[in-house]
Amino acid sequence: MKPDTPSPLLSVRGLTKHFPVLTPGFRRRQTGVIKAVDDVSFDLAPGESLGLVGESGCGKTTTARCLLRAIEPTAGVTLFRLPDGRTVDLARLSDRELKPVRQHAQMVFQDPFSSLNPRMTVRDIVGEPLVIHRLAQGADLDDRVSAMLARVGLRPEHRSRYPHAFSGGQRQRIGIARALIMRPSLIVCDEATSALDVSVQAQVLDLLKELQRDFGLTYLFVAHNLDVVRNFCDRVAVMRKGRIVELAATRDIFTAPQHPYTRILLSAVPSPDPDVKMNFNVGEELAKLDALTG
Amino acid sequence: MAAPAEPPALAAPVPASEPGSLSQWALIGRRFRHHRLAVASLFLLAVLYVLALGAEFFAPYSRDWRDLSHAYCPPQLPRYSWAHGLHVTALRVRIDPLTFKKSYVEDPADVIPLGFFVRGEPYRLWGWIPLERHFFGVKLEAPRRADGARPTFYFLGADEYGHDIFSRLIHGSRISLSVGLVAIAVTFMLGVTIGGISGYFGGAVDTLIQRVIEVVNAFPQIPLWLAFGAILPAEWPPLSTYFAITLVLSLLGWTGLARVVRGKILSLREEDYATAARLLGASHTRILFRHLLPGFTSHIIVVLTMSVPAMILGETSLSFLGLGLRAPIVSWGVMLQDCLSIQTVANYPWLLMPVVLIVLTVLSFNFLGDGLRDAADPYATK
Amino acid sequence: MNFPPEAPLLDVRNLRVSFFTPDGVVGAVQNVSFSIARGRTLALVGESGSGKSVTAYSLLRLVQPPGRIVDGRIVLRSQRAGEIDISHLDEKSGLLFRVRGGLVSMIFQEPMTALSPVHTIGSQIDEAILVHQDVSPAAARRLTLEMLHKVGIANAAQRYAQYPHELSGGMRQRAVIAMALVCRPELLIADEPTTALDVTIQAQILGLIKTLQREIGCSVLLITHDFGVVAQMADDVAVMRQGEIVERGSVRAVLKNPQHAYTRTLLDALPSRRARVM
Repeated sequence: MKPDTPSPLLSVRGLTKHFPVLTPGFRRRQTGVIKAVDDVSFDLAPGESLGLVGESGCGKTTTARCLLRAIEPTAGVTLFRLPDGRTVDLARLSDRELKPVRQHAQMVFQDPFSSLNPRMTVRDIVGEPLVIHRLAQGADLDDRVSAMLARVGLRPEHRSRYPHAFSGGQRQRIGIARALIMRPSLIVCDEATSALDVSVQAQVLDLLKELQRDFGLTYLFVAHNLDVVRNFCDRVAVMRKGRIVELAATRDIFTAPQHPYTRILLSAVPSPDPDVKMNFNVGEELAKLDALTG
Repeated sequence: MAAPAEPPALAAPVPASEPGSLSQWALIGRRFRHHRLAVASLFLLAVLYVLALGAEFFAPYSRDWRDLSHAYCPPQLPRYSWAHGLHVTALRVRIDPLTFKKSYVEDPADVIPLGFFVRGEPYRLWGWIPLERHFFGVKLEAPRRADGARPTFYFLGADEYGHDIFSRLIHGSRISLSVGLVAIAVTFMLGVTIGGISGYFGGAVDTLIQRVIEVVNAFPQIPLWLAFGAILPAEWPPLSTYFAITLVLSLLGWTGLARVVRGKILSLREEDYATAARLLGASHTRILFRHLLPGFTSHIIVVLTMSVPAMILGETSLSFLGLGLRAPIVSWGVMLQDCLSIQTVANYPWLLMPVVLIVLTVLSFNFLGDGLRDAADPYATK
Repeated sequence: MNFPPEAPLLDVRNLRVSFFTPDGVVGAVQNVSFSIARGRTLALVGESGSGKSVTAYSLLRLVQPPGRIVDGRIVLRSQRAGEIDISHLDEKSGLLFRVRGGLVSMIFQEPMTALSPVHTIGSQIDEAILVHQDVSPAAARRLTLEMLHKVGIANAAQRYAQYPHELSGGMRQRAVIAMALVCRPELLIADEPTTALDVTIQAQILGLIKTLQREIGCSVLLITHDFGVVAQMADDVAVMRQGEIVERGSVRAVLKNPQHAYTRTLLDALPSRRARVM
């Protein structure tokens, strides 16, 4: 528990992403906007894990991608504290200014199949960040890749293999190694375990927890699975229709949810305990909620 | 949202012994070898290109060698006997006293011995290495004819001027087969550059390029060829004409490749690994050349292989119509100019030999392209 | 046709399915036996590659080459068509076509597997009716509209004329369920029916399947990887691993008191259980 943290690692204020709606055809006039992310604000304390949950289309992935500028945000401020104490606004940096900052903020992707280039060996994939930022080369690069692979539970001799030779869980470890090799302080996990089998998911979550302790990482953990977040995160933000509807400590979210949407979401999760009945009736309740909020 | 990695429908489970350190190219090679027709085509094409490369050596006669006394001589199939070894019997001209129709009759007494690696006309291989041995032809010790000339051997017959069609096919293949490759090289450069720009930058540039491609595709080909043919000055040296032809062919052929490249770049740009590279801080050039282009080199190769036949056919058509290469240059298309009249074709069907080779080549390239396409994506299930 | 009440609707005995790949024979399903009682729900649960989907596909003889049913019997005791050994039916027999979609129907993880993109929702459901029932097109249309309404699709008449791509994922799955149940099958095979859906949509679809099952009185074979779905939906459960059933029993018994080590490993890996431990 971190009751109050004086200086957040990441401070997001009013983050907004609007996608224009264009008419089909040649002229492509704009007829409206989709508010994928609508005025999202939160703080991320160093060393904590914040879960960002919601259903598909709620804007959680867009939020994550806007933070790291995989997508350009429409508006908002994203203050990020660098290890040297400087604070930069990720949303406003130019491409050139952004490049060195990228060493400190990385992403782990959802799909272990499409996030690794099938034409590159594991060595090239994991070592690429070091090459791009000219942090190591030759034998040094090799050693650092081997050490990182060992750290995420892979064998150094896996270096010369291609991604297709690995299982989903192993691929996700490769993706984690790539994200961590520059020793960043912030990791955004975009549905990092959603595509994995339950038992593999548990192993990868354990690995992420372990790495967080060892490297002092801060996680923004995007997920649609409430159960995963419950086990993993210190605080949880629930998103719906581009907005955060509730942000609270994990325990509070799960034991005393304040927002009706959080309650509906929790009740819809099928419990593996046959004695805890799930709510099949969420359709009407959601409709009622929408009628209330307009 | 995310589905667990359950195989979609019922793809065959991957055997546990999947070799892990095989590169993409090794996997393509493995799959390609299963495609028998494609392997056979590759072999045939290799033979054709080796023949073209060593044309002077493999052809029994030079390009311009001729024996007017054997005009329209029919093909002579080599025979084998214990007494004479590999041989043909000489053909004598007989002219029907009433119709003046020329025909050839065999003279069983006059045996012309044949052999491999025989001495013949001296030549310079690739205009450089002086040699006089030919892969196959009339033996030097064969008795001279009455007129003092060396005896002749027309494996696939002769044309109007007594040229050896077999030799000219081999010499002609040099032009016909290389036109495809040279034109493809130009096509490749145009297609990848224009398609790459279109796909990577998108927006207005993309729209403009796509419209240009549509306009180019809308041109009727034959009239355009006629126009180009009319522009080409007749007094140009053969080499310039040759390059002009390839340029014409590729100016019309790049659009298909450009579209493939654009489409692939558009789709690969959205792959997570391209995003990952961007988030790592990789530059545009690095993303394009390290991550995007290698993702579809195999597709480019397939598209290029599939478009070689069109180039070869294009050259043939142009030359056949008299718009492309002209004698004394020999190409398959130029040779087919002799077949313009039905009478010639009916009386001397061996003049159509280039057609056989063209069909074989075009089919081989298509089968090869098919095989490559099937093998190109080692991750797709059959 | 009448069977003794204790005779199960479906009996699968020693089912073996192998894939004959160029790199060798892979036994995807090895000696699997189970039965489903009338009106009950059996969940087949396992991780990816455990053979649970192949098992489901072989019940309708849908395993594609290089896969093949090598051995075993699949006996369906239909009220309407008597006892049928599906595993030994001829590939082109009329009975097999009657089984598929008529007596046994299937819904898939990805609804677009079952829907044609070039026909309207309504015409596809009509088609399913006309193939299996002797009714007029007008009657089929009435049945379709009724069914669309039953699966909770509002404005059934309007949706009837829409194409699959015009519907959301949840709506499409509802349409597929309508198509699967419109012929009142005796067995419904649901292959990960809600895996691609959000939890709130999942809850609605699961509820829908439960309601309609009660109304039609069919049995359900539920293929899933999610123990939560098993606990909420099924009466009995069979846990599969590498082509074999390692544990079988009532849901309560297996989930509350797992006997096999693999079942315990899977249950311990559940985030909700781990949360309690930590």
